[in-house]
Amino acid sequence: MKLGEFLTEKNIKLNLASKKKAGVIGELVELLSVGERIKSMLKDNLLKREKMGSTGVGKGIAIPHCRSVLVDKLTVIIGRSKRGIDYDAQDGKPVHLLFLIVAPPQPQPLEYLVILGEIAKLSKEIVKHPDILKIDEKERFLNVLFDIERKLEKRGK
Amino acid sequence: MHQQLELLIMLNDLDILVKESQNKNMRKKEESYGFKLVHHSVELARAREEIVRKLDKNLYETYERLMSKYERALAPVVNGVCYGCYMRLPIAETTQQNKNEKVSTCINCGRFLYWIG
Repeated sequence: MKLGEFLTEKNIKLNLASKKKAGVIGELVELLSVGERIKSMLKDNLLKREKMGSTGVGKGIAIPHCRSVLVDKLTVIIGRSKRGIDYDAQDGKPVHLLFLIVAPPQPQPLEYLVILGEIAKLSKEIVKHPDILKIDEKERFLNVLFDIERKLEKRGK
Repeated sequence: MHQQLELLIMLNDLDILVKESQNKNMRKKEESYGFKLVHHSVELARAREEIVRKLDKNLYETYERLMSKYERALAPVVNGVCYGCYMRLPIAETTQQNKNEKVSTCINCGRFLYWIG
């Protein structure tokens, strides 16, 4: 399963304005192709997931995620903040890069868990490429991301 | 969207979130990816109470009955098919307008329905 299957330039916001968790999750949910009420319910759902434990996995990365009957396909949205977000991350450090995942309840958790795992693996590799925080063009940003994913695949990690 | 249907969706998504976080395999998987999960959240328990307080009593009873029978009490309908039991719903239902403006159930499995598209 490759990120390219889920990511296009439409799913990226490179200059997040908010400095707080609820604000950035709201900004990322805005990029979903669903109605306003659905966006609000999904944001609420994602914030509820955060109550189970912060999805700020450390080293400047957060992976907010949820499954809901409100969406019919798995969607990944990427957000970046050069300034950093107060996210209550596990290492207490500001978050700069977010991968938001929303997925339907069906098929059974498999696809969702696979992509969650892929992004978690990728995020560990991304921290070795701090330049990704400086890129201002979405196309270039995506290409660098896919490149990191390809290298990761080659190494069989 | 019908307000009671919204509440049912919020309740179902919340219950599944908590249920999955308590599922040993799912928990193990998420933790292996670097996530840390609490065993119980007082805030989420309160959020659930708040949803249930607003929910019609009969709907809540049906919801609880469905949850004891199935993994989910609510199923999406995609292209006229209930994604709970994968049965095609009658044309009389699929051709209705504003289908999410009322609370409906699958004639086959009884799950509450949320119509997508």
